[in-house]
Amino acid sequence: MQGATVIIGMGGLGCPAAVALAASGAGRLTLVDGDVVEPSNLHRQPLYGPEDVGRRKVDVALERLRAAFPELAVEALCLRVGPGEVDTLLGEHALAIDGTDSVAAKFLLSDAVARTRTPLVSGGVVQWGGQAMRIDPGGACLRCLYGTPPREDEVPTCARAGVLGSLAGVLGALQASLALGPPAPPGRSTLHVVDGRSLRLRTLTVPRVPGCPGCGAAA
Amino acid sequence: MLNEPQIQRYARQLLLRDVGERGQEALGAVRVRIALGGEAASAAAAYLSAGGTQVELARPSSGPWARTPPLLGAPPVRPLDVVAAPASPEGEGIVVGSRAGGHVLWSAGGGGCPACVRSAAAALSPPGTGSGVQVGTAIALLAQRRALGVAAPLEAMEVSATGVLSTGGPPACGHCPPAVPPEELAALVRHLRTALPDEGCAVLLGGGDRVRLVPMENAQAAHHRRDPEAFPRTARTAFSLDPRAWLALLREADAAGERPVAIAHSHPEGDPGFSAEDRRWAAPDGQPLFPGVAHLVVAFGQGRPPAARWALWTDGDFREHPCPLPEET
Amino acid sequence: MTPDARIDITAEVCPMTFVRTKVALERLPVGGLLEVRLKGDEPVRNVPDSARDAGHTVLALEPLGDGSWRLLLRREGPGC
Repeated sequence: MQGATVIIGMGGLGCPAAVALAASGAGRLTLVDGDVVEPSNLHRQPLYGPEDVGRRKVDVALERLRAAFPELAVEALCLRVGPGEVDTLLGEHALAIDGTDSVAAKFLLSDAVARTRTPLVSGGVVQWGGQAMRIDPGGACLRCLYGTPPREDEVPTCARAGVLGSLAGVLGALQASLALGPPAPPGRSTLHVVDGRSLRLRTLTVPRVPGCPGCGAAA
Repeated sequence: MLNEPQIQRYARQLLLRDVGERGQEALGAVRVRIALGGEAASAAAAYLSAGGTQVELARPSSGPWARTPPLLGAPPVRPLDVVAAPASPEGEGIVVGSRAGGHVLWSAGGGGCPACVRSAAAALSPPGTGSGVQVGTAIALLAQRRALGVAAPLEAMEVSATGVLSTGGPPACGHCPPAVPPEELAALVRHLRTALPDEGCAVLLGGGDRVRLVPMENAQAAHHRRDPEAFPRTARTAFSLDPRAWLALLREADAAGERPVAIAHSHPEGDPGFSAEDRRWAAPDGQPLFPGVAHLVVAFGQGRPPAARWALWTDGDFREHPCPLPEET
Repeated sequence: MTPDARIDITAEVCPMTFVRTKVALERLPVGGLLEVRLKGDEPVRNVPDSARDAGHTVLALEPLGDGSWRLLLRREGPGC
């Protein structure tokens, strides 16, 4: 893969995505996260151990990845990505991976694909379920899939609803696979749905919605 | 009962409906022994220990993961073996193998058929080194499901050559009847009833972890009408599938990633045993006409609930198995 | 109604508020009553909702006058 991949959020999804990309020989990664390691992260973010609690996630992740993958060029940014940073960050990278944990952040990233022409592998995991979708410029985005974003309190986040550790690993690794794979054919995206409770793994084609407020304007 | 450090560490898992305190204790009661090497083993070990399960690695592994030991209240008692195909685990365990450039993982336990596990494992080549994190996290998910008691006796995941996931298909085991959800069996009985007093028939298609009913028409009536000499029996005492309908079904199934898992028919009177005519129809030259497909017979009769039996071609003959039917509402 | 167990989660932040509640509920037999003392907008909104989502029954939720609330829950089961 040419160019660098940015992983936005180094939590339950970002950790396995980063390791999977590094292990596949991806040459350059940028890790972005504004948080420190907390005890409740440890069960599903196995790049961090109890001795890392209180340290900035990106610092720990950088150390571990550099030690395990000496050929990897990896950098870190300790910040929480908001509307002020998203376009610059995506614009500077060849591909982005969504490791965020809020509805607002996911839509922020999805909306930036058309503006910046940087593909994004969107993803989310909560309770026993997870989803991942590669959004390429010209492909379907999160608004094509959902219409308007759900309200923050309609969607249980990990903080409230819990999550199975291995499922986060499975989803983050899947995001890495989608990042390494081909772009979606124009006009659509493929949604991967993982139900860890029934062990049902399905894919659905999401067609691009003409005039979509997320991706339609910059067509 | 979990202590305070355990509650803090595993808080986000305790919140899950099918986990809770008892589930977290179940995760801690399992000891996973991984007889693989490489990144898959390292990732699996990292996720399992982080989640509260003790792991023993047969081969030491390095890697970026922090190997956080689980917080355990008591030593684990239940072994779960992760092995490389074509070997299969002795008891509960997971076999990891490769096929067509991708990986296949089978998870066995909970009283499942050991022959099914062995034949599934034997059909795979040893695992490759690619997609290590994808395979390792899948191992961890299957192992946590097994530890929590939510796993089916035999279940599978596949990781394609490009690292994309899908559910593994049901193994074509000659020893065990397919697992059919009660709602599909109930729908089958209802469909066969509508054909009475004639024999009715249907096909069960399986794909991923799903088995679904496809009602069929008994073509015997049409055959008999057209050519009563070649087809002396009527639909009252015989059934057949229209070849075009069967072919169309096979094409549709193939496109959907499914395959026929069973052919079902009814005996309007009498018992659900696989009769001599049934055997002649299913294996006309002493070889099964539908290899890998199970046969299901549902018998109706006055004044009693329907009864069903499976017939599976095993070691040169049809062997029968009971098939409990759900109660009719 | 006399509760079978009481917990005070006024010092906890989400989601430990519901973690404590869930663990305490699961330690009761089916039909057991748990009294929870809680305070704060988020816990007072989330804990009863989360308990209901988990299949348990909210019997009472009332302010205690000092800024904290009393929540009475019945443990349901066996799937909960």
